[in-house]
Amino acid sequence: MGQDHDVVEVLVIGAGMSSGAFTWSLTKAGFGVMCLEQGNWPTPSEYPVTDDDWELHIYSDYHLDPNVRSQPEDYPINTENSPITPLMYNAVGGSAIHWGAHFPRMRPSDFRVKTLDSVADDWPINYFDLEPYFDLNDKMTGVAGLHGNPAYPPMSPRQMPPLPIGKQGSKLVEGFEKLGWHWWPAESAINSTHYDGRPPCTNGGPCITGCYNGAKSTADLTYWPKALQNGAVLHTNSRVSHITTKPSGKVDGVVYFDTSGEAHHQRANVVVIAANGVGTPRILLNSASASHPNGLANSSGLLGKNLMFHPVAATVGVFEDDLEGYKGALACAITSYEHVETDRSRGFVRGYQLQSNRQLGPLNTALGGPLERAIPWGSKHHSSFTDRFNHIIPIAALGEDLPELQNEVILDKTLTDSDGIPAPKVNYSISKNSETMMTHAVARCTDVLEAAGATQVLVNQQMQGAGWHLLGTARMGIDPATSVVNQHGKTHDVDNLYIIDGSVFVTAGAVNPTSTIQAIALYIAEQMKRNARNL
Amino acid sequence: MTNPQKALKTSFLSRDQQKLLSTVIDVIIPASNGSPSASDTDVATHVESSLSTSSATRNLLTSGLQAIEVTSGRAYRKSLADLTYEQRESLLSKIESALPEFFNVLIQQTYSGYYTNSNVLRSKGIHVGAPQPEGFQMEPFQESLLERVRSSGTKYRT
Repeated sequence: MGQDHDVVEVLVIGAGMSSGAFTWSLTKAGFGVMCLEQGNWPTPSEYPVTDDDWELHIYSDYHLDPNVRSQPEDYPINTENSPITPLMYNAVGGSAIHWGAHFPRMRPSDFRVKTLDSVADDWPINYFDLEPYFDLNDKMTGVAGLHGNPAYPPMSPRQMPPLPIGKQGSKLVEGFEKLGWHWWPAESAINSTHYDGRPPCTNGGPCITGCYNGAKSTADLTYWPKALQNGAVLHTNSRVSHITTKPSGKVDGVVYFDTSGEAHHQRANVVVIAANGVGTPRILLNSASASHPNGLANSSGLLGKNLMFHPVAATVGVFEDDLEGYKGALACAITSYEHVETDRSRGFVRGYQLQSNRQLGPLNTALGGPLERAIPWGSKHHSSFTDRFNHIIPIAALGEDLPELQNEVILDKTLTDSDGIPAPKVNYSISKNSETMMTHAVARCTDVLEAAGATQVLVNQQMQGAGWHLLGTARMGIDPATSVVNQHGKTHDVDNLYIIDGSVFVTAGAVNPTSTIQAIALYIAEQMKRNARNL
Repeated sequence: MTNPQKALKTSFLSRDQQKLLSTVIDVIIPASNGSPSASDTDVATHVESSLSTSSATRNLLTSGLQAIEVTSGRAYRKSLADLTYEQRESLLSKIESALPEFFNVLIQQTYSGYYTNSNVLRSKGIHVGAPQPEGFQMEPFQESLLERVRSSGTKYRT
């Protein structure tokens, strides 16, 4: 094994969205930070969105599912016991490279579900603790949106005006207005004007195959260049296998593999893990030792438990009008928080957010898009295609799944990645509460689509390919018996080990989590700076 | 970036199997109103190439094609190619039920080849080419649309 002799002050595992924000913040304050990332720097000129056969790549080498994509930097995931497939991407910028860039904050009640709704647990921090970090993150990222959303407390002015909502969005607004429901233009981490040296979106879509001109605000473009200017050291193609510990039980570094398969030991005073809600428990479980026999930072037995995905129901309205669904950012047009708070008369607790989506191209239309079933073949094929292409409005209902012990990430007993590191296995099932919630969501989506004039409504009540959000597997809390990290992101068991990604979520809210993940990373960085003498 | 269409060129089907595949994909996507049938384009090549990557996918295709001919012989004492379109469609419906994995892959690859073919897209009046970098012009958001929502009161709990 190669020995990297210099001891770094802070070593961060993973170079995604949380890591970029965290590393920028620490290096700005003068900390020495090294980051190890198993993927590469993305190269926008190689994104397939400028290729004529761009849609083929979505179903092959640019698939959202790492098991299908199967690129050298990917690791396999055993998903046989999960109706939802985890989706992720390994690169500087992380899974956001394939992201729709919808950028809402979690809402105040999301942090207090035990107090307000008598379910799950409250967080040890709240919306208002995070508010300065939401604001800072919005400024660093650049948010296109609109101030004054009544579904949120007053927040700082948005950096840019909202993205266009197009004919699709305007049509859907007719439905919301007829029903008198809440709606608001999406908060988008996509430039609608020039911002921070990057150009505005050209409305080309589809966003999930990478953004050619850099209008989509991923950490490889926002935080990382600034972090490197501050002196951060970033090594790509460096896959961490496990974290090493001293006899005292403290961590002293990591073992990682380079692309030739050679193992290295990098020593560090502090280790910070930011490998997402699947990758983080995987590495910690693979770091078991004599002093941490059940995995590192797992004295509670909760490491890997309480996995939350956000179940998604897709409801697609078919309209007579040509709605130009190919124009605009894929996931950033109209949102609704009408059903996001608990109303027990509905038969479930907590709620769901509605988010309109655009369509991709003709191939995605033929294969059914979010419906995940292809349009009819045979004599009705062409008429079915004509009915749908540019004539649909898909709505994703994103529900809050509650933390449950049986939903978990464990190490697979036989499956490994190309370096022999045990692969994660996901065990997940949809709870009765989530199932009832999604049934309600589909009915309400049908209501609004029909109010907008849909002639037909098609439903996929449980999307399989919806595991974008990987949350809860190293939950935050005050009590070491019921949580993995404390309110400052430090693991209860190990003084010099921190977790800063979506793993620390206590509950999931019903919003896309990246804004909150980054705000928490900035918050934890601030706590580390304040407690530097104890590091 | 690897182009999956260009990267996979391996042919593993016999000439008879290739002819049968062309017949099958023309049942899946027949010609209609100026749009070509699947076999009028290079879809058969795409299907074969896409499934050439492993012995499992090669076997999936060859065994599925064989099942089609066996089923056709039992039901009609004829090859699929000698049936009417309606008979072919009915027979493939039976195959869809009996061999869902094969049929799903066949649909996926037939549609993938067809709907990324520029001649097909032109025949349907669809924009041919990549969505970026040119993009599209769109009208800016009109804030006046939010008048009712803005005045509807707060919708959050603390």
